[in-house]
Amino acid sequence: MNAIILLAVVGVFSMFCGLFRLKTLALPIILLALGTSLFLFEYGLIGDFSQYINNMLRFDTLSGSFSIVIVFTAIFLFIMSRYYYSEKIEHLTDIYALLLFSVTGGIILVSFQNLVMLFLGTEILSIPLYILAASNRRNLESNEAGLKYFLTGAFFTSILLLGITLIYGAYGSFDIEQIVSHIQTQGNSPLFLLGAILVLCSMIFKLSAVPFHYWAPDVYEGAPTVLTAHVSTVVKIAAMGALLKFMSFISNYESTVWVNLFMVVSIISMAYGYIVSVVQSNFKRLLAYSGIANVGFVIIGVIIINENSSAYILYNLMSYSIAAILSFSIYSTIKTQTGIDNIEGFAGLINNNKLLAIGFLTALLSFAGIPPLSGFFGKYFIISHAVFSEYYQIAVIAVVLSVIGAYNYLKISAAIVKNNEDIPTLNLSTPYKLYIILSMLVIVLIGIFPDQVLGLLKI
Amino acid sequence: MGVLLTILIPLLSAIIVLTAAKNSSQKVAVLSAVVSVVLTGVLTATYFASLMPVEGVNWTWVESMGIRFHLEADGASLLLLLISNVVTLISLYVSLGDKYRNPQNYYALILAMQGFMNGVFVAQDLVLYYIFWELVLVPAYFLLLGWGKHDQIRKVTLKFFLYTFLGSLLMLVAIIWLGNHSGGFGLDMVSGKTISSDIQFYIFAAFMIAYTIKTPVFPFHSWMADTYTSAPAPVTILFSGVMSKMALYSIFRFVLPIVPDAVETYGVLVMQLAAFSVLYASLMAMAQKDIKKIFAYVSMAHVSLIVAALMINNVEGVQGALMFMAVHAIVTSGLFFTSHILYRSNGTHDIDAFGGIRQHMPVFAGLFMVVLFASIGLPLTNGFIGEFMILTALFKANVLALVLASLSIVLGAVYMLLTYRKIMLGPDNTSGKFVDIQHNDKFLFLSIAFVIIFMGIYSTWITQLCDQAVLNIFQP
Repeated sequence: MNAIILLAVVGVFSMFCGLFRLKTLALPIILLALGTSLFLFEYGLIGDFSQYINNMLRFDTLSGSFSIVIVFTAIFLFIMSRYYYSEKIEHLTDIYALLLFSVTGGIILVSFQNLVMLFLGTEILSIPLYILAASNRRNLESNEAGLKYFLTGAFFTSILLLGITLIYGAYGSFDIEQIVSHIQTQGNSPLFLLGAILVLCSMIFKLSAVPFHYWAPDVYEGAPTVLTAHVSTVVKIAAMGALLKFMSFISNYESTVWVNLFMVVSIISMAYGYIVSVVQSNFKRLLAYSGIANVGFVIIGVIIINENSSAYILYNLMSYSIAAILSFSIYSTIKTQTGIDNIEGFAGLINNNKLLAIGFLTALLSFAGIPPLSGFFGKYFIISHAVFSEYYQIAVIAVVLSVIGAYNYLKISAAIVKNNEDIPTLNLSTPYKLYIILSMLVIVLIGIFPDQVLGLLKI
Repeated sequence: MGVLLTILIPLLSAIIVLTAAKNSSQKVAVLSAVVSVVLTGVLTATYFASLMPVEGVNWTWVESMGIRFHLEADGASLLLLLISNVVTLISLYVSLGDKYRNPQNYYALILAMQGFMNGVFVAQDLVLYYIFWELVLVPAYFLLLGWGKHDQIRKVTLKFFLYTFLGSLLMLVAIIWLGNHSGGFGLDMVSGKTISSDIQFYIFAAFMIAYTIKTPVFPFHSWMADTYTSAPAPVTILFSGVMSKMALYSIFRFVLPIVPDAVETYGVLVMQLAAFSVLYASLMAMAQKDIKKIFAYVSMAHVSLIVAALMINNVEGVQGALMFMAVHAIVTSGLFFTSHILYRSNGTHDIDAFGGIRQHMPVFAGLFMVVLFASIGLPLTNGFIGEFMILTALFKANVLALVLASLSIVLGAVYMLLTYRKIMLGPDNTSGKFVDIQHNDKFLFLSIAFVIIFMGIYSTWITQLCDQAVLNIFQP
């Protein structure tokens, strides 16, 4: 809770920084605040199963560890945004503030105990996104992305509200624990089933899994790259956390419905995402589709929920996020300096820009699941979860489809190491180089020490 | 510790090569390979002194999953380590005669590949083994992509990568199942567990798909010809000399002990498929005009024969297979080296562009002859020992497979001798500049010929080296 207050206050402070022309001050303070919250979550100063606001928020193990990952990913996101936006851009501090509010919303979302908080968390997470998606005002595509995201998002917000209302109608409570105890005493109700499915639909929308994925490619392509990185990492982690928390309460009731639902969503997302990404030439669209597929992959962990599923899901999301932010960051550097945004344009990157190319390759090979990069154990944990739960067919489908995924990432790597074309040497500041090296190190270290990472996440 | 060093020395040298000056990268790489060979020799000597597996390290790694960082080398592992390090040395030595773009990257990748391949041969934990197996693919991919010669090198590379990646991911599912079933991934825990024969079939299938792709065996060979021919010669030598052995070694190390019932039941099918693959590859070799492609199919015929021998599933067959692995590594290195020397002189692999070269290159002609005889299994060369052991074992096991395999050996003799006649004998109708091999090349070729004949005369040490490891499978 202290972390939530801290981040919200720093968000407001950042807006004031803009007002008083202290632009350079905003980012260090934000990073300091994020570091402090990471520390707070990590060392349990607040994460000790505390409940707040009449038990509407509750930090249990799952919320705590998801919050850690959200904040950790957000740190990388803010460093990326430092190099994405030039200092001269207007409203820079407002953009930082909105991003920070969105991150705060994510933390609220994963720690909900009351469905009202689920709704509030979703809104605090999403509303800044609509603004940010359209924040590149002079760009038509950015406006399109913002409008599209806003309209579909608003629609699914109302779906979420409808779902919550139906659940309330069935059991007369917003508190998820009370709802569960009502289910135990009164039995299942069709109203509840419908309501829960609608709530899940809104989460699937936030996760951009099939069938509610159609906004993703356009928004990814049109929005500023920082926002794209945010939507594909922090937002997905938060939505997945909420989904897991919701399911961990209700998965024992009507379990066949949930198993079938998630099985279908998972397989279709993987198949659709990986297969459609094969024909993409724009890098951001490609990552949108492969992100859809990765969410499908992660949802395998939700099909059967046991004590390990949240750890495995979180590990996968974390490794995916760090690699995604790194690749988006490198992409945006190339894009701003040369204007290239399709895959073939990366040809010969390695010849004049070794560091960028190696960073890019690290991210791509991690996506493909090559050891010892973090993506390998991300994939390994989820597959072993499927095998342990005796869903062998899902495991086999997942690995076969992920070969198609690997095709995409290797296609880009092949372009990068092409030797008969060149991209001129790009200007990189020393801190930015350090940032790329740091991200690569994190990807490798997470991959080599999975046990220790899960230990740090307290999960 | 020595076992760990077999992995660390190449990897550290790779980093040194990356940071060293351009001109010194070659020397560092060759030096590192020599050290690796010496180290493996020392390890082998230690093994012979005690006849106990050479202990490596045994660390906990991912405790929650029961994955350990466990390395150990028994006799069979040592044989494969010898193969891997010697072939890498040959490959680096072949590279000496050429200039490569970005030599640092090139040599670093070769050394990294060597380190990971050594890891495959000594890992005692299935997940650790899988990680090394997968890691080999990365330098292989970039070597092929960066230095391969083909109009559509990216297509060739992707096909190679995805084919093997698909196989290995299916293997991963089987490995996870095994680890879950036995409560840990250590080979000592997984081996000999009772698994119902239905499930044994699925595990057998998953493993064998991965291995028959990598070997390759018909019908999973379609990536092979393009990959082998477009890779630069030293890389082809690594691919066919060591990377294919990874699959063969894995069949020996994992498939035979872990799913014995399935091997008993379905092994015959695979054996016949492999025997057919020998015949298929031989016929394909006859139809080729490209020298490197001919040798690629010769290699495929030989490794398919080894798969058939492994599927006999008894001591004789497996001993023959291990012997032939060592033989094939040397012979295939010699063959691809030959094609590379021809390529250097004439700039092509087309067989019609050669003829009567013996007059210009008498030493080369003689040494090529030795390698060729080894390839068709003439007595006094090591090829004879390997083929003889395998055919004897096949004779007792499966006559159909024997007939297919022997037929192709006759065919092999025919087309190899025809190839030799076309290239080396007859009237001189070439346009290239043919100068006889000298210095490094001559030394390397003489060494290969020497090893071929030495192994042909004295080969019992290989059988002794692997004896304990083979007996462990059949008498647990």
